[in-house]
Formats: sequence, structure tokens, C-alpha cells
Amino acid sequence: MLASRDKISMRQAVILFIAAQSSSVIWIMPKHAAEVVGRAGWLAPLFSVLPFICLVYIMQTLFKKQKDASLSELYIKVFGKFIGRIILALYLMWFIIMTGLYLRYFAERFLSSILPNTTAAFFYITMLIAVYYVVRGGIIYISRTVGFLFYMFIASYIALFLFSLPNIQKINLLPVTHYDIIPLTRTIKSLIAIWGYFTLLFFFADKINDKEHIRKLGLQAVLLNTVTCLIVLIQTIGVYGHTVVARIPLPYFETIKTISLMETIDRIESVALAFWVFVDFTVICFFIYLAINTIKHLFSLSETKQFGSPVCLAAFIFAYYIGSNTLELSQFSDLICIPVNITACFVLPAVLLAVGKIRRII
Amino acid sequence: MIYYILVVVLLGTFDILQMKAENQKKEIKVYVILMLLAGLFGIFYFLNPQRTSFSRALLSLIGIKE
Repeated sequence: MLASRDKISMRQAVILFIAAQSSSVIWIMPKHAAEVVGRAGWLAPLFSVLPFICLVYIMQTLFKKQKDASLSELYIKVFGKFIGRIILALYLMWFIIMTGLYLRYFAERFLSSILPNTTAAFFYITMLIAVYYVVRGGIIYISRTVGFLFYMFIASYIALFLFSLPNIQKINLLPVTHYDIIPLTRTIKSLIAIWGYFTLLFFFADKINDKEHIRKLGLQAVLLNTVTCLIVLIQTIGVYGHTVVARIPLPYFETIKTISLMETIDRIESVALAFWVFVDFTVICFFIYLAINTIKHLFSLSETKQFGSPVCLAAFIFAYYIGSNTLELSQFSDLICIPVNITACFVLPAVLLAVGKIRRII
Repeated sequence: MIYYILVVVLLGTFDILQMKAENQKKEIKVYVILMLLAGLFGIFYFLNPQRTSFSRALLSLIGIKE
């Protein structure tokens, strides 16, 4: 039973995180793992488990005593008002940029696959209208919408993997040797940059109940994320082989296209398309809500329901302005997003914990 | 650009009226500043959509060339 009607449970928050990180994992990881590691790329998630577990423990320690605080409040409390607010302003800018980036990727995927003759503005506007409506309702609306669709998402995800099993070839996945260990360690930074979104949940920790379950639910998320990521990589690399996966723009989508049920039901990629919209909707909602919540703490406001409008408008412009072509977008993701995400989601919370412990605030 | 400005004005008016009804003075001030920034950002972009993109500008700032 929830203690307050305005709050969500830790379980709902973790579901939100799993759905939000799925977008990047499904669309980026197969290509990245195949490029960096090759045949053994499907083992990449196993190498990123340890840093993720460390992150779960950092979060648990941060919120052990500060049960009603959010990460924004902790930054201000530990680093002082001036430095704390500078950090929050940087986070705010980053959240808006990430919203624009995800919005752009959402449109690019449609434009490069099934709807090439549509304008990008159509995708931006339709997505932003849906997100704006949900975000205005607050975190309860977002988590209920995501929670409702999440189980269907997982069920279809597993079903699509099972349907792909006949197309998976052992030769594409094996043999794996000890020479693959070094390349596999190179995939850690990409995956933890995505799994680091777990930290971002705690920017609205004041809206989350039962934070004493951070460790338990966090470790469950580690397990679920590892398994789902393994499934995606086995499915894509197993069907097409690493050389093809590294060269095609949307490997997961192409893999789903190969599914044929009893040689009668083909072209079930529409199911994957539904996922696609769902996970992108979730991650855009997530970042817009994070931006609104950060505005609230940055300016010490009591109510921020209406602040979705400037954030959505800024994200709309950023979706255009962020890059003029897909090459720039991928360079931005690889060279800017990964290091910034690692700093924002791993390094800064670790520094916060260390300073908080030294100052005996946490 | 005209449609964008129209959306900024309409959304802004709608939200400010709502906040005014709830007597949120501080919130209105911050909201107006952020909405102005969003509006100016839009005008900046739409005046020349072919300008150097954000990622290219950022990458050249840190010394990475395509």
C-alpha cells in the first residue's frame, strides 16, 4: 500500500528505468557489440554487471538515511547552494539535450525504415503531444502508463526471441575464446552509460516510496537487464552474424523481419514497431519529467506542472539542431553522450557519496 | 517559425493563466524566463536551419574533427 497518492513505489520506478534504457539497448548495443567484439559480442552484458551492482549499492547508501530527499536536494545539501545549483543546471541542460537526441533518433528510425517520405516534424510533434499530455499528470501518470504496457512489452519481447530461435545459427555465436576478453571489456563503457539511468530515477526520489528496497529491486533490475540484453544480442548476432550486424542500421528490426511462423505468418515486425514507439515514448517521458523535476529543485518552486511546455519546445528545437545527419548523431552519441552519461550517472553520485560521508551529511 | 512562435505564445498564455489562478507568482516569473529562452532558441534555429549543428560545434570545441 502506498504511503501517499502522489508517490510511486520503488518497483514502479525500476520498471520505468528498465523500459527507459531498453530504447538504447535494443537499437545501439547489437551494432556496437558486433563492431567492437565480433562473434563474442553477445557476451557484452556479463562484463557490465559489476559496475551496475556498484551503482545500486551507491544509491542504497545515499538514501539509507535521507529517505525523503531527492538526488537534487542531496547535491544542494552536500555541495552547498552555489555548487549544488550549478551541478543541477548542468544536469538540466543535459536532460533537455538527451530528450532532443531521443526524439531525433525516434524520427530517424522511422525515416530510415518504413516511412521515408514523411517529414521529421510529424514524428516530433505527435510524440511530444503524447508525452506532454502524460507528463502534465506527473510521475503517477507516467509510471502507470509504462507499468501497464511493460508486461506486454516483455511478453512480446520473449515471444519474438522464441520465434527467432530457428533462424539463430550456432556458428554466428561460437566459438568464444579468451582473446575476446579484452574487446569485451571495451563494451563496458557503452552499456554502463545506458544502465546508469538507474541513478537518474533518484532525481525524483522524493516521489518514490519504500526506498529501503533499492538494493533488492536494483539487483533484480541488474538480472533482468542482463538477460534482456543477452537476448537481443544473441537474437541479432545469432541470426545475421557479427559482420552483417555491424553494417546494417537497425539490426534488431531486420532480425524481426526474418521471422516466419510455420511459413504462413510473415512480416510480424509491426509488433517490434509497437515496442519501438513504446520504449521511445518512455525514455522521452522520463527525460522530460527529469528536466521538470530539476527545474523545481533548481529554482525552489512548489509546483511545476506547467513547465512541460518550455521543456517540450526546447526539446523540439534540439531534435533539429542536435545534428545535421546520422553520422553527426552517432559521433555525438559515442564521443559526447557516453562520457557525459558515465560522469553524470556514476562519477558524480560517487563523489556525492564520498563528500557526504566526509561531511557526515549522508 | 511563425507557427512555432504562435505555439509558444498560445501555450505560454494558457499556462500563465492557470498559474495566475493558483496564485503562483514565483513560478510565473521562472516560467516566463524559460519560455522566452525556448522561444529565442527556436528563433535562433529557424533563422538559419543550415547553421553548424550542435554536435559539430561541440565536437570541434573539444578538438574532434569528422
